[in-house]
Amino acid sequence: MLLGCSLLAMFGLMFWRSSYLLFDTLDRSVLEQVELLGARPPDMLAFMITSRMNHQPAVVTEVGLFGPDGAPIVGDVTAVPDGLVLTGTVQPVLAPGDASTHWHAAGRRLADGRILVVARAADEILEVRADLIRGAAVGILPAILLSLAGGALVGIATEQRLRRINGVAERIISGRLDERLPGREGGDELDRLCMIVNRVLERFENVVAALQGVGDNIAHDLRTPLTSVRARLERTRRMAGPGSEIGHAVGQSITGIDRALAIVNALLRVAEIRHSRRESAFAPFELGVLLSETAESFRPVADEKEIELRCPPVCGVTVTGDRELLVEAIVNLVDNAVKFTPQGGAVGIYLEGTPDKPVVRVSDTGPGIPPGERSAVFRRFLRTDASRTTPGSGLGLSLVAEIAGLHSFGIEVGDEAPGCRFELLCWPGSASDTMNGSRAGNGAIS
Amino acid sequence: MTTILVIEDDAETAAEIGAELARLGFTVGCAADGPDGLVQAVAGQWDAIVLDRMLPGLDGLDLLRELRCRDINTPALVLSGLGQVSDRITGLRAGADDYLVKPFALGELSARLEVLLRRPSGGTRTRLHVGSIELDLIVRRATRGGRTLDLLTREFQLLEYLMRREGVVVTRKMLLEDVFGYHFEMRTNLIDVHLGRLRRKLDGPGEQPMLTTLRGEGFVLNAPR
Repeated sequence: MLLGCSLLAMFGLMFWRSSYLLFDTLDRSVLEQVELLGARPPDMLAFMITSRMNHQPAVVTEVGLFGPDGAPIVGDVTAVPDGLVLTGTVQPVLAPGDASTHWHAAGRRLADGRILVVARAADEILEVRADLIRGAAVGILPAILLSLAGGALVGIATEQRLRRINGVAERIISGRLDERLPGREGGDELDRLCMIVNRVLERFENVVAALQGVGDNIAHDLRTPLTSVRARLERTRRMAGPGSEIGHAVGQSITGIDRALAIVNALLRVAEIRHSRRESAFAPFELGVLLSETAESFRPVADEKEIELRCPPVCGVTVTGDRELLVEAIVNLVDNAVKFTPQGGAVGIYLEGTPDKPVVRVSDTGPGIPPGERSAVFRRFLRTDASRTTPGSGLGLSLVAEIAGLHSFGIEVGDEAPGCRFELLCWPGSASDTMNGSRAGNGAIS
Repeated sequence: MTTILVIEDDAETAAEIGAELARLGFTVGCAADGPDGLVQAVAGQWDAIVLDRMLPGLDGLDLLRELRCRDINTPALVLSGLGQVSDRITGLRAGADDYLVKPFALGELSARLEVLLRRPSGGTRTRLHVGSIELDLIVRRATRGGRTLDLLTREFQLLEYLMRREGVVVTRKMLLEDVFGYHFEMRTNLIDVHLGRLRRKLDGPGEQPMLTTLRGEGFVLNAPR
């Protein structure tokens, strides 16, 4: 675009400058002739004009001498051109009797009243000008168009690169810290920027891995002593005998230890799933069957809370994945939904979307999740204020996010007004699809 | 006298398991590494083997494969720190009869051993009986003393599982894994709710209760004496 403009400006300048120079030369030669002839002795003038015509046929200026009334005396200018003011200055006029010929002419009245006219055809210059414009049309315009097209091509290529970078960036934001921006060593500025960002990411990934490692190691190191304490307590309870006060107290301690163990185990489970990142257990299975089985498992629990559990049967929708892990994810979602729904509410397990892009929607009529906290619910231990009094370690959803991530499935939280809606998008790559659709993403970096 | 071989390299875990099994009246043998475990497993007459998956000298699963190759089909329970689905499947494929992920409650281990020692009954039979309870697996009908039990799918599956293990304590974890297919910890008392309902349907008013809950341990189905 810029190139096109500068080309046009250059042509304009060239056009203006060249026609100015040509006209200037022409005008000066006309002026010179008028002055030269005007300075000749009046009686010699007619003779000089005639001899000039005879002996210098190559002379391009035309001269005419007229009587005070404008009647031609001598010369090849047959009449004083219309509109020529006799001031001795050069003016553009039309040749007398030939409207197609442009002249630059100057005229002056001599001391004896006769009129001297010097003219020169400007058509050649006008032709040169026209040639210039034609030249521009066949030379510069295509150049401009080419440059515009080239610019557009470069623009499209750059835009595609930016879009690719954007896509990767979204995946990184969604927690895939192992992704890297496309860029090559020794490329342009964008490449160099990408390489720098990649180096930052590498550092970041290492730090995050180290942090996660610390958490996982603590969990791992806690597990063994907790387990052996539990075993000892169990033996103590047995020795104390049933119904004894000590036995009862020890039983309560065991419950506490079990709660701690459950948290430790859930943490380790999240780490385990994150590190497995392998698809060996992936196989196709019926999603509808999984959902109706889950509904069957939870129906009595829902009944006890007088919660209506809806799960309309859907057949023939197959997904490929680790069935046991997806069972775990959906059981967690349904478990949460039933847990947070008050008595008399409703929980729905729906299979929606299209057969190649199925969506599992689990909805409830519980307190819901405030919009500001939705992206954070998949992080470890987060529970919204409304839920703090309900038992559970708060790790369930980070587990769900981890399982979804393993399958490259998207997971979304939404409003069911009242209540909350979780959607598991069961096709690979849906995680980044939703990112681009600017829906609530999975922010599970932890 | 029931004999059990424990192949476990961690001394503390081995001692705890040994103490628990001895308390339950089993005769316990111990091996602290793979090669020793294999020698003892081949030489002795064991009723069951408990073995750690990761052993020095010889991997637990290789040991198990070796035993199965020699046609030694002693029931084996594999203990493992690896809880991945695929890990469990490899374990079962190598010839394990049960797979328990560490850490586990000792009660869970002994309950599972009891089940292993008393191989589930019924086999491929299509009708199961415990006391006056009759289960027809073909037409999916359950009756107690001629009274039809109106059971939901899960309740039917739970009853079948309990009937095949009559008189043996079945833990929540076993029910979750084997009946529900949930190989993860549940925070919800899913099993208790299901079994509570099953019991209400099973043990009618005036009838002798057959389904018992053992606090902290599990459930057991017994024919009335």
